[in-house]
Amino acid sequence: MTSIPLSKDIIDWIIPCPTLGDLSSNSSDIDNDIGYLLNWMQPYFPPSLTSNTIPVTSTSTSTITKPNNDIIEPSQRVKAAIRSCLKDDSNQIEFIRLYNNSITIQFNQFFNELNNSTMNFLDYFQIIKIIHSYYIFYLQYLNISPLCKDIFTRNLNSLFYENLINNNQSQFLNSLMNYLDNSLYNLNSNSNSNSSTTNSNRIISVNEIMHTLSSINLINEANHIMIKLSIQKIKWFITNHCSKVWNRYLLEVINQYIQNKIYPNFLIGLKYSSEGNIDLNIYLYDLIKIAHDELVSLRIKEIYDIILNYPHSSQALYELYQCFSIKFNHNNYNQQINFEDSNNSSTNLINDVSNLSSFSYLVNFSLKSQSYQRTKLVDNFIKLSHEKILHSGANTIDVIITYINTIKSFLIIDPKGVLLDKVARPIRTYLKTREDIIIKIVEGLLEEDDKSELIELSQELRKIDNLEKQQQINIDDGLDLNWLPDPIDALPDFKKAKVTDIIESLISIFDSNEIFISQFTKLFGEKLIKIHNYDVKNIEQHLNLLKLKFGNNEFTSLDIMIKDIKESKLINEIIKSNINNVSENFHTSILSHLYWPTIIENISEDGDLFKVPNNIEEIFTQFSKQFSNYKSGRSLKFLPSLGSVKLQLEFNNNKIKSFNVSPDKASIISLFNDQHEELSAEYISETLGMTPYMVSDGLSFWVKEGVLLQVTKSLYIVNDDNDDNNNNNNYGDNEEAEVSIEGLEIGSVTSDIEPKSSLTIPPLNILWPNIQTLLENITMLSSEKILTLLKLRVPIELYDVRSLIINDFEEYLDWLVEQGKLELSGGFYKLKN
Amino acid sequence: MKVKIVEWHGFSTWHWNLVSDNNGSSSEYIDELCGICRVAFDGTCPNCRYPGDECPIVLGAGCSHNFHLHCIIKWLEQNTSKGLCPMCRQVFTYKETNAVGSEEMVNLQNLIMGHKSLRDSGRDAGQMIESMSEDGDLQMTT
Repeated sequence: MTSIPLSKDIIDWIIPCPTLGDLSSNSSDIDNDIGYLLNWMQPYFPPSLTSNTIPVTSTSTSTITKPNNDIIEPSQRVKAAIRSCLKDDSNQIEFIRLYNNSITIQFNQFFNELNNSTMNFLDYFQIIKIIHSYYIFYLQYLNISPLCKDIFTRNLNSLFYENLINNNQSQFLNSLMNYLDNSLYNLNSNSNSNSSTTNSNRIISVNEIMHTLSSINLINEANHIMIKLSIQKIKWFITNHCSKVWNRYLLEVINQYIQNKIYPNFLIGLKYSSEGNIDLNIYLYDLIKIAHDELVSLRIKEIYDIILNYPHSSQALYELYQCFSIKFNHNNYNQQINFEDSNNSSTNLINDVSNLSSFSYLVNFSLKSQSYQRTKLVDNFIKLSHEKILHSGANTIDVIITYINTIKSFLIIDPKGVLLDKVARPIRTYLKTREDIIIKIVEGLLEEDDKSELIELSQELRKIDNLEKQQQINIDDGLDLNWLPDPIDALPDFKKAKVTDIIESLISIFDSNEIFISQFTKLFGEKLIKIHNYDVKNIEQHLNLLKLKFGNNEFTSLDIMIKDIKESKLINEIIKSNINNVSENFHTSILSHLYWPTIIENISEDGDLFKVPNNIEEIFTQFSKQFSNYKSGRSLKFLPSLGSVKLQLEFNNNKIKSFNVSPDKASIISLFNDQHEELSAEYISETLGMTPYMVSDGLSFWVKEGVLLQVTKSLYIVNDDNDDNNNNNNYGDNEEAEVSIEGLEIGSVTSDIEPKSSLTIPPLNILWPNIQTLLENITMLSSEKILTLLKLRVPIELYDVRSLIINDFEEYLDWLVEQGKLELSGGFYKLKN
Repeated sequence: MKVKIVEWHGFSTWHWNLVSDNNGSSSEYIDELCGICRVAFDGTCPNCRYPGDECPIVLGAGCSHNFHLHCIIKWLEQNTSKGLCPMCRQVFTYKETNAVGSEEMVNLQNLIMGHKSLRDSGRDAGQMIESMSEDGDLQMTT
C-alpha cells in the first residue's frame, strides 16, 4: 500500500465542497430564478476589493462611508426569485451552506493575497467594514429564517477569525495593537498640541472599531489586546515614574493614572464584550492590583538600596507594606484555580492572557502571589546583602548600620516581624563572626557624640523609657487575653522581640550577655577612673538604661564601682574634716580592688608602684590612718600610678605655669623642686623606684613643655630662665596655659621620645657661631681640635668650655650633623655647603 | 623652680586587715578566702551585693580563722555547729573591733553565748568529748 500525503486537494476530492456556482449547472424548473438570484449575488465578495489586489492604500474614510459602490439593489425580478427559491427551510439551509462555501473560497483567496502585503490597521478596518456591510446587505434581502441567518453569521465570523487571527501571516492583531496604542495613549501623553477635537475623533473611531469588531465577534481578541496594552502601559508608567523614587507616596499617583488614563480606554472594549453586564468596576480594581504587583516587583529589585537609604525611603517602604496588606474586596468571583506552577512569575502570565477569564485568573494569581512576593523579597534581599555587605571586606560599623536599617525598614514592610526575622538571620550569623562587633556595639550604646555613626544605638537605648511601659503589661502567654499565635509564615523559633527591638536584636546575636557586661564594665571602669570630681550621675544614668536591657542583676561589678566612687567622696569629706593642715590638696578614690579588674590588673608591681613626693606620701599615711579609724579593721593601699595632679610651677623669673598631669610626671617634676643642679635619669629612676622607661617618658614630656632642659642624653636641668624665644615652647606668653593631660591613662605611654629630643636645641648651641667661624677658616677639623680651639676662643662668661666633656661635645656635633649644618667625613667635621 | 601641688587626686584600694599587727600601711596584702564561702574577704559573701561595710568580716580569736560575718553567723545558727570553728573545730570566738553595735555583731555575740550555755549544760550532763575540746580550747586561749 502506498500512503498518500494528506492535503487539501485530496480532502476536497473525497469530501466535495459544493458552491453556489454548482447550482447553476443543475437543471430544474427553478433554474431561471436561481440564475437571476446568483447573478445578483455574484461575485460573492465585495467587487471593489477584488478588483485591485491592494484595494485601499489611503486612510481616507470615503470608502468606508460609501460601501454602496459594491452593492446592487435587487430588482423586483430578483426579489421574486429569492421568494421562489428560498421558500422552505430546507432550501434556505441548503442555499446558505452553498453560499458559505462560495464565500469561503473568495475569502481565502483574498486574504492570502492580503496577508502577503503590509497593511496598517485602518486598511484592515476598512476592508472588514466593507466586507461586513456587503454581506449584511445581501442577507437582509434573502428573507431567511433566524436559524439560517445565524448559520451564516457564524460562518462569516469564523472566516474573519480564521483569516485575521488564526492565520500566522496575518498582522491584524499587531496592527490593531499599534493603532490602539497610538490613538489611545501616545496622543494623550505626547503633547496637548493635538486639539481635543481630534482626540475625541480618535476616541470615537476607537469606539467604532470596537463596535465593528464586536459585530464580527472579534471583541474578545480586541479586549485581549486592550488588556495587554493596559498592562504594558502600567508597566511603562511604573518603570518610568517609580524606579528610584522612594521618598514620595506613589500609590495614589498610580491609582490616579489608571483611573484617568488607562481605565476609560479599557472600558471601551468592555462595553461591547459579552460579559459587559458584570460590574465593570471590578476590572478597575484588577488593573490597580496589577499595578501594585508591578510596583512590588520593582521594589523587590531595589530593596537593598531602599534599605540603605532609610529613612529617606520610608515612603516606599510604607507603600510596600500597603501592597502586601491590601485585600481586594471583590473576591466573590474567586474561582477555584489550581496553581500548578506557582514559580511562574506574574510577568510571564501577563503574556498568556487571552481573554477576560484568564485576566481574572491573572488577578487571582497575583492576589495569592502576595506570599510569593514576600518570599521573593526576602530571598532577593538576602542575596543582595551577601553580595554587598556580608563579606570580609565590609566595615563592621557599616554592617551594624545596615542591620539597624534592615530592622527598621522591614518592620515597616511587615510589622509582625516575620520577614525581618528571615532577613535578619544571615546578617546575625555574619555579625557573630566579626571580632570587633561587641566593642562597636558597646561603644555605640554609650556614644554621646551626635556625629558618630552609631549614635543611633545610644538614642535607641534612651528610648527604652517608653518601651518599659509596654513591658509592664507583659503578661504570661497563657493568661494574655490578646494573645495571638505567631504569624503563619514564621519560622519555628520566631520571637518577635528578638528581632524587632534594635538593641535586643543586636545583643541577642550572642547567646550570653556576659561578653557585653564585661565590655561595659571595662569601658565604664575607664570612664570612672577619669572622673576627678566624684560625679557619677552621668554614668549611673547610662547604667540604669543598660540595666533595663540586660537585667538588673547583671552589673554587680559596675554597681560596686559606682558605689566606690560615691563613697570615696563621702569618706574624703569626713577625713578632711579630721586632718586640717594638709588635706586641702589631696583626695583619693577608694576602690574595692576585686571589682575593678580592668584597672587593677593593669598595674604591675614593679612599674607602677613608684614613690610619690614625700609630702603627698605623708598625707596619704595620715589619710590612711584616719580611714582605719573610721572603717575599723580595714586599711588603704595607695596606687601611685592612677589619678591626676594639678601643678603650679613657679620659675625664678616669677613666671607661673599650671599643669594637669599624671602622677608619674608630677613625681618626676617634684624632684626638681628647688633643685638647681641637673639630675640624671638614673637618679630619678632610683629615687622614685620608677622604671627607666617611665622616667624618660616623663622627662621628655617636661622638656617638651619647656620646663626642663636636656643637658646631655641623661642629664636634665630646670629651664629656669624659661626664655620663650629660646625654646620651642609652643604655648608662647600664655603662662597660665593649661596643658592638656597627656598620657594620663595607664599604659598609654607614647613612644615618641627620641624624635622629640632631637628636635630640642641643646644648650651647647650657644657655641654654634664660634664653630661656624672656625670651620669657615679651617675647612676640616676633628672634634678634639674644635674643642681645643673653642677653649681659646669662647669667653668664659658665655660658656665654660673647659668643663665640657669631649663626649658631650661630640654629641652636640652629631646633632649639628643631624640638623644638616655640618658634615662628617672620616672623623673630620666641615661645614655643609 | 618651685613645684606646688595644687591638687593630687590619687587612687587607693581598701583591704581588710587580716594580720592583726599589720596596721595597713604595708603594701603586703594577703589574698585570703573565707573558709565557708570560698570568696575573698575583700569580696562579699554569697548573699551580699556590696563589699566592705555591708559585708564585714570576723577575725577568729580562738583560732586564726577568719570568715565573713554573714557566713559565720549562718554556720553558728545551725545547732550541729555547736559553736565551733568550722575549720579547726575549736570553740569559735572573735576579736572585738571598733565596729561595735551593729545588729549583726550582737547577733553573732548572742549565737556564741547561746552555744556556750548549751555546752555548759551539756558538760553538766557529762558529755566528756565536749568538755575535752572545751578544755583544749581554754588551754589555747590562756
